[in-house]
Amino acid sequence: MWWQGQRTVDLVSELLDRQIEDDDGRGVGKVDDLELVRRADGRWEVTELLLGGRALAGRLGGRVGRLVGWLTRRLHGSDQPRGIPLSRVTAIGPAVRVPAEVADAVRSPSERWLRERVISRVPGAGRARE
Amino acid sequence: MKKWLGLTLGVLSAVGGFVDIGDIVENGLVGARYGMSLTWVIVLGVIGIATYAHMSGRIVAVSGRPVYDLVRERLGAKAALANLVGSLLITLLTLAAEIGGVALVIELATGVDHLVWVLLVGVGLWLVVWRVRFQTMEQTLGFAGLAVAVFVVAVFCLDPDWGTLGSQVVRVTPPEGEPLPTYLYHAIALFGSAMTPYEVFFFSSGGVEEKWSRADLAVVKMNSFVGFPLGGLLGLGIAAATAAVLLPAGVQVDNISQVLLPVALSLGGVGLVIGLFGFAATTVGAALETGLSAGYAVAQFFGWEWGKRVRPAGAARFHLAVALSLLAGALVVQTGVDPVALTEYSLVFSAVALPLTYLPVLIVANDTDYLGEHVNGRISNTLGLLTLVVVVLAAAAAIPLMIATGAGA
Repeated sequence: MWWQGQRTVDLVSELLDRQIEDDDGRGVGKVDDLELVRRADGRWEVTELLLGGRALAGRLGGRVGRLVGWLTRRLHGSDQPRGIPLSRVTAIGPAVRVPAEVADAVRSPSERWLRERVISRVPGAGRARE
Repeated sequence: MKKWLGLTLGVLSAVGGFVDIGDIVENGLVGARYGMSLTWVIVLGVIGIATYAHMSGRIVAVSGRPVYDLVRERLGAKAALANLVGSLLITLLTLAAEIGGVALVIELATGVDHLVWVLLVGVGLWLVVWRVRFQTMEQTLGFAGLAVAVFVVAVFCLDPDWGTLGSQVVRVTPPEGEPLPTYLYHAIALFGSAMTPYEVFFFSSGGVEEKWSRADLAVVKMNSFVGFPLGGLLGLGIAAATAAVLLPAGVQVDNISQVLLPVALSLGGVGLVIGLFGFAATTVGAALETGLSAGYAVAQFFGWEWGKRVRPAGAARFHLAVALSLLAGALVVQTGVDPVALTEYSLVFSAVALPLTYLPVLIVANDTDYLGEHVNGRISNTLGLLTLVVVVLAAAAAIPLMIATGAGA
C-alpha cells in the first residue's frame, strides 16, 4: 500500500486542515474532518474528506463545537457535513485539488445564499478588478 | 527594464505601506520623550518584520499558501480558532485606530471635528475595497505614503545638534529621570508598531492577489529587505524630528498635530501640507490593509474563496467579512474614544499576539514539503529564532508593564 509515494501517512499533518481547491485554484473549503470506514480485514480506510461547519463542529467538540454547529444549522439549514470521496481527489500537496464538477457539488450553501440574495445585488459585484 | 520597474514599484509601495498610525504616534511620542534612545528597537523590529515577511512571501511564491492557511494547518482547528479570534480582535482594534487616524487628519485639514467624518471614511474605504484593483490600490497609496519622508527632509533642514542625537542613538537606556519600566513599555509598543501581525497577513495574501510564483522570488526579497528597512527609516525620521524639536521644548505628544509641529516649524505651510498628505495616505492605506486582512484571516481559516482578484460575487462571504470589519472599526471610533489612545492599546495587544502569528510561519518556512529547495537557510533561521525570542519576551512583558506603568504614563 503506497500513497503519494509514502508507505505511512500522518493524516493529521498531511491531510487534515488543508485547503481544498478546484482546478482553477478557487477555494472550496478546508479538510475539516475525515470519514473513516472499517474494512472487512479490520483495517481503517479513509473514504471521504468532510468539509463545512458541521464537520468542523464535530471535530472541535465541547462548547465551541456546539456553537459552531448551531451557527452552521442556522445559516445552512442542513445537518449533513459535505463530503468529497477520496477517489475524486486529483492531487495532494500544500493544497488538495479536486475537479471542478466535484467542487461545484460541495460548494457552501451559505456562500451561494449570500451571493444570490445580497452581494450580487450591490452594483459592481459581477465585475472582476484584477 | 519592465522587470526593474515592477521591482521598484513594489519596493516603494512597501516603503509607504510600512508606515501607519501606530508608527506615526509611537515614533512621534518616543522621539519627544526619549529622543533617539529607542532606535535599537526600531532596528530590531525592522529586522524582524523583514525576516518574517520574506519567509511568508517565499512560502506564497513557492506553495501558494498565505499565512492563515499555515496557521490552520500547523496548529490544527482548535488552536487555530483561538488564534483567529485573538488576531481578529487585534486587527479590528488596529483598523479602528487607522480609521480614527484618517478622521483626525481630515479634522486637522478642515477644522471640523473628526467624529463627523468617521462613517464617511468607512464608506469610502469600502468603496475602494469593492471597486479598485488591488495593484492600483497598493501602488497609489504606497507612493503617496512616501510623502512622510518630509520628516527626514525637515530634520536635515532643522540641522539639529547631530552630536546630541547621535549620543542618544547609542545610549540604549532611558534618559535620566525616566523610569525603566515606562521606557520598556514604550519599547514594546514601538516594537509592536514595526511588527504588527496584519503586516504579514497582508503581505502574504497580497502575494496571492498578485499571483506571485517562483519567478517573483527576487521581488519578494527586495520588498522585504529594501522596502521594510526604508519604511523603518521613515519612522526613524518622525522620531528624529520630534526628538530635535519637542524634546528640548519639553512637549509630550498626545495628539497627531504635535507630531507635525517639527515639520511646520522647519518647512512652513508647504511642509505641513505634505506631512498631512503623507499621514492621510498612510492611514488610508493601512485602514484598507487591516480591513482586508481581517477578511483574509477569516476566509483563510474557513477555506472560503477570497480576494480582490476575483469578482465580489465570487467571494461573497469574504466581502461580507471585510464590510462588517470596516463597519465595526468605524463604530468603535464613533463612540468618541480617543484614536491616539486606541492606537497605543492596539500596539501593546499586537505585541501580545505576535508569537501566535510568527511561530507557524517559521515552522513552515523549514518544511521541504512546502518549499523544496527554498526552505530557510542558516541566516533566515538565526534571524527568525532571535526575533522569536524577542517577540516572546515582549509578549510576556507587555500586559504586566502596561498595568505597572499605567499604560506608559
